[in-house]
Amino acid sequence: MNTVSSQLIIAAIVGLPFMAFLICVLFGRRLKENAQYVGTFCVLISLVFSCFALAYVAGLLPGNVPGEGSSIQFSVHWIDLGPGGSFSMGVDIDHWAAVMLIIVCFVSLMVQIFSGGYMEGHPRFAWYYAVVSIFTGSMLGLVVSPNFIQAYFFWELVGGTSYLIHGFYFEKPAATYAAEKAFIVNRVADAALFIGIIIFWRETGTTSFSGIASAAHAGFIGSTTLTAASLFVFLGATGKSAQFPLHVWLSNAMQGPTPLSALIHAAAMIVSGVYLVSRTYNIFVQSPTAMEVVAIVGAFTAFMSATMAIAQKDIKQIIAYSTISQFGYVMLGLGEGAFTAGVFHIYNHALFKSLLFLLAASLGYAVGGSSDMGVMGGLKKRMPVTYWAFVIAGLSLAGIFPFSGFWSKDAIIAAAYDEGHYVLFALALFTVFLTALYIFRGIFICFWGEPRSEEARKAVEVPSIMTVPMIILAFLSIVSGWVGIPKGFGLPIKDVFGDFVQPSSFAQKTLHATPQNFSFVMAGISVLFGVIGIWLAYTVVVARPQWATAVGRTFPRVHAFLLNGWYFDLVYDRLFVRPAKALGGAVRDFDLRGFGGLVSGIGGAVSWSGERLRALQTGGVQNYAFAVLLGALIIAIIASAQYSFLVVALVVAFSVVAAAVGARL
Amino acid sequence: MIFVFIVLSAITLISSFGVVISRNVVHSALFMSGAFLGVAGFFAMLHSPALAALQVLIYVGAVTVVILFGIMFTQRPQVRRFRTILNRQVGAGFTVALFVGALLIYVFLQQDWGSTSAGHGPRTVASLGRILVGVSSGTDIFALLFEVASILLLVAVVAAIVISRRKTGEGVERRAEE
Amino acid sequence: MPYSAETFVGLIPEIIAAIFLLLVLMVGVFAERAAGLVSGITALGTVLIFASSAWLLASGFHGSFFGGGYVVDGFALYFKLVVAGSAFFASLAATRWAQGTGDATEYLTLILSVVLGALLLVSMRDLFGVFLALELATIPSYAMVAFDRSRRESAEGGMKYIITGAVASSVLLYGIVLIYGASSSANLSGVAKAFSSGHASPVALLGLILLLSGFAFKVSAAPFHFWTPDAYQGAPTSAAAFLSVAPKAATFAILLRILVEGMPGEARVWTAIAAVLAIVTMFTGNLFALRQSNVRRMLAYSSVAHSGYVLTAFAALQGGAKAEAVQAVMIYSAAYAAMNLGAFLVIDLVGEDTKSFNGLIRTRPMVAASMFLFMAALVGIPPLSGFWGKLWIIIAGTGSGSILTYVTVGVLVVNTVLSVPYYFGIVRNMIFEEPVAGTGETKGEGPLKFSVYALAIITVLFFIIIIPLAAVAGSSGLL
Repeated sequence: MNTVSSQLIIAAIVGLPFMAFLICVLFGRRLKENAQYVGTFCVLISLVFSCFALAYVAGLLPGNVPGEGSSIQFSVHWIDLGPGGSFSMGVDIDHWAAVMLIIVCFVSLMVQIFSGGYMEGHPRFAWYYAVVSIFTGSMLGLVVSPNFIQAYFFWELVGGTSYLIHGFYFEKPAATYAAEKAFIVNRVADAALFIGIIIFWRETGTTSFSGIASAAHAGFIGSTTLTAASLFVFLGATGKSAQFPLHVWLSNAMQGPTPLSALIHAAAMIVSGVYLVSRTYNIFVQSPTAMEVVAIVGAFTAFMSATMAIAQKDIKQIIAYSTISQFGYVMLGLGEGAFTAGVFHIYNHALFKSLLFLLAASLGYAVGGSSDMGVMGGLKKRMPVTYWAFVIAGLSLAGIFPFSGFWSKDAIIAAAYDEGHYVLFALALFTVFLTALYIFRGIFICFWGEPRSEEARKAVEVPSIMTVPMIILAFLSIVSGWVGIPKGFGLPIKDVFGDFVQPSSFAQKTLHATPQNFSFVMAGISVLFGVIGIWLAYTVVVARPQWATAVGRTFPRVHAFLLNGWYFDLVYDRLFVRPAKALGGAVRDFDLRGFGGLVSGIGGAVSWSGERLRALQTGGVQNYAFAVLLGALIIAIIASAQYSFLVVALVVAFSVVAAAVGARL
Repeated sequence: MIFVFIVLSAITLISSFGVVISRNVVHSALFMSGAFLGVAGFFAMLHSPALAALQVLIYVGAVTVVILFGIMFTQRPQVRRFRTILNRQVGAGFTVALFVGALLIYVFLQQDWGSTSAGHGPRTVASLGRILVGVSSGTDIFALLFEVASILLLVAVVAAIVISRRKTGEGVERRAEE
Repeated sequence: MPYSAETFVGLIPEIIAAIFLLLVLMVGVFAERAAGLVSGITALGTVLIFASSAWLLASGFHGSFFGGGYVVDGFALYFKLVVAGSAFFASLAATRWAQGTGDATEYLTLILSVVLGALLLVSMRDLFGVFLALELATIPSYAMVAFDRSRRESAEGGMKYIITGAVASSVLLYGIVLIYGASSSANLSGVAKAFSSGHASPVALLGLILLLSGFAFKVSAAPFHFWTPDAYQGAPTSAAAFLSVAPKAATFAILLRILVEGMPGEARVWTAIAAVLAIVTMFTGNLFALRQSNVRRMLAYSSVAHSGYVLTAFAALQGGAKAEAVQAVMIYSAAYAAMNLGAFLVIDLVGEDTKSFNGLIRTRPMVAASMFLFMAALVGIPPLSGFWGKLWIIIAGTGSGSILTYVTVGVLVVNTVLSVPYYFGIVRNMIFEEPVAGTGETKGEGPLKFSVYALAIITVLFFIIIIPLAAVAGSSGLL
């Protein structure tokens, strides 16, 4: 990849959506509804160029030999750190990144076409396309990043622009809390990721993924440090991918336009976490502890959020929890060393999850904006396209043969079994059952039975600009898994995906991975679990609805526990939010009474009599002068102490003294 | 010599203390000139008669008089007296002052003064002036500082005008003595 | 004593500042009501200062004048650029406000004298010169804080600032005198001899301690920060914006020079002090800012926290990361100047109560977008300016090899997260709350809006601006 023109083409994949963003922002008022052509056209070109990149790394273009290492790499010098080193900015597209580029561009394209109908007539139409474009561009930038600094750059851009999505309907008051929570939780995760990056940088002197991996292999990083840094990076990934323990933000953050949720969940923000882990896989495989943590967190998250999804009343919430659960599977696969299975699941998930969200959007479109299942019901006849697409997506999500989800999910579960992690295996298998149960519970409630509202009675099928992307995605949700049918299945087709996207030979060597054999028994069990789930959903929703109410009445606490997401919000609120608020309130009072005194708190309420002013001023000023001397004294003590533990003790002592002085005032 | 030192220290310290605890602003200002006089005596002891003379001229003479003028012109007689000068922080303030004082004494006792003795400052105003404008060897930087000081004075005048041009406000009386 | 032409070349920025200071005063005398003219002249002056400093920097000028007491090197010129740049935006932003008071001349004279003081300060290598330049930058700032006659907070903040400032100045001066006494030299080269490794006398150490206390006051590090919220809240917005940026950057610069060039032998002592000050300052600033309802006061506390971040770089001035720590202070100062100046100036457009930001995205989307960028930059989100400063500080801190510094860097990361809610509170109000009446545009906001937008663009494009900045910082001549 040496010629300037081809490098420009690769750069354009990332650059075009940003250009669309600028155009939509600057000329939004003039463009109005035409903004959709700008956004769609740019992402279409990006998609074409991504196909070019894929063809290049696959060796289909002249001048490049297929095989490992045939990646697109180039970079420019960016920032010089003087003696400390330098950062560069560039592109590194290996096989998996090329596939990911196509996924992102394709999903974004589908979403943008669909949105042309969904957002029609909205006053901020151009702004909507600006947001989609910058979001797509940020994700594409993250996908091609060759080093941690550039990745962090786009990582934050993805996070920051997601705030624009959560806040898109700023008229809705509920959006505030969700956006705030999403932002703060992600800041925690990003801080962790940043710590991990800095540790790697300090230990190896580079931020490039491959450089760190080879430095770690050469023994430049101690194994404990490597594990710690990997876990920090993983914590960062759990924040974006909404894995336990930082999953709390996602279920609230559903206030944006539903098609944008499709983009976030299927191809952008939430994917960025698992993508980062897969991208830095060569680093992770060198730390068995980190791999184990990834697997355990993944399996637990998959199970936990599947149970949460069962009790939800809102179709978007169900789908949101299913995203958390599915990425739990991906993490499990990656942690078990089944790289190909894990990323294959990302690929399949992108298609059926974007479909699910578009379907939820069209349901909402049909019944007047709500996604509450309480207003739906009986839509099977009125919205046949939506219904059948939903069933296909549901079967794919539940992992029923031969739909796409089956192939990747089965491989992940089998990997857990092969690695001998039987608890994780059991959790994953049980989650298959739960998955089928919750998604078909949703389907049956929405489409079967009698309409539960006036809107549902009058609902009609959505316009064709919306059904076309749905049909395309539904078709793909059936067949997309077929590119990765394992060899052991007995069909005379090649495992195209498995051959193309392989873990690096380095990772294979480190993991001592033996190629898995397809097990019909395993597949049979997992499909059986799925079918049982569907049957149970049918029973409690359609055949015997009284059972569901009976269960709900018998175990009200369990129901509330699941509905409220295991009370994580409550626990975090008690543990972090309230103490922080209390502390903030306490120091504010201290500020007002002791030192700020007059100004902000009392405001106009107190009459500014000269006497009062003088009294406070005198006290305030002498307090300050007092503090200056006290501080000098403390500095003197530090200087003479020179022992770190004494210094820490002094910091504590100082805080106590300051508080005491404040209390006396 | 020791005797002179003790007397000068006593003048300086007692006057300074008087500045702080006096309840009348005019008294405080007069006490301050006493403290300045003590310092002038120290300059004389350190073989810097020119500095001592300037100290008396500028601080004891000019500065104190300007401050007194300021007080007379700006304040109504009834607010020249402060209600309290020792406020609620007296305990904490005293403790910290004690510690700072103890620290200073400790450090000065720890220091190995060796053969340190009084220096030889400029004996004539002319040589002092040469130092101040940076033409004596080794004092080049004072040429720049002299210019900076002139601008500083100009700016200080502008600043003082800005602050004191206020129409009303209780802060004025206190600020005038700054 | 004859002075070479080179001396005057090196002093061009300062000479321009002095000339324009007098010019503004004179013009003000003859054209009393022409606030626009006066602020135009001031802005022109700052542009010329900026241009001359940039020219000196580009031509690789390096000189030491007045017997080694005054140096013009890359380090000094870099900070002169920061000072002149922020003064440019501050004087533009002051136009409308100063017009209203009728005292534009005095106000802009004070800005220019702070600029002159800061320009001199960063080049000083003589402790007495440091003190004098620091006072030249501080005394007008007292008056700037107390300038707003229409608000009582201004008088009060100004008075608190003056009195505590006098205490701090005397502490600083006492420290300088003790150091002079211990080393018989006020020049940093002479001071360095007295502080050569492990041989610092008790009096010299005491001098160092008092010097650091005085400087800690000037950069509003806790527990010397108490004047900051009152002064910034009381001050006219453009004054608060300017004072929180330009003199502070210059003060950090000269403190860095004093410590690195004058006292390298006692680095163990002052890095420990800086680390503890940084920890206390970061926590104090962020905790106090957490629940403020006045945006000015919140930003004042945020500026305290940011002083703590910079002090972390001072704590890293040891081991193998000295050069990076110096760069960190330089980069952070520039980054902070852009974003903090912008955030303060938005207050002038919108209002100082958090509620006045409600629904701003609907009433004034461009201003809201700028504020969003400033807030995100203050949090430290890449690619905005604040991220780069923090990145450098963390890089330096992790390379220092001292456990206390590692702890300080850890505290910095924790504080970055801790600061999110209050910056974010503004963003939340702008996007999600119902607009309040009376936040519409008013007349004469042109220059102010220009400043805000320009600073927002600088904040965004910092990932490109960082390339030359890093190059200059990498060859600053200090270390």
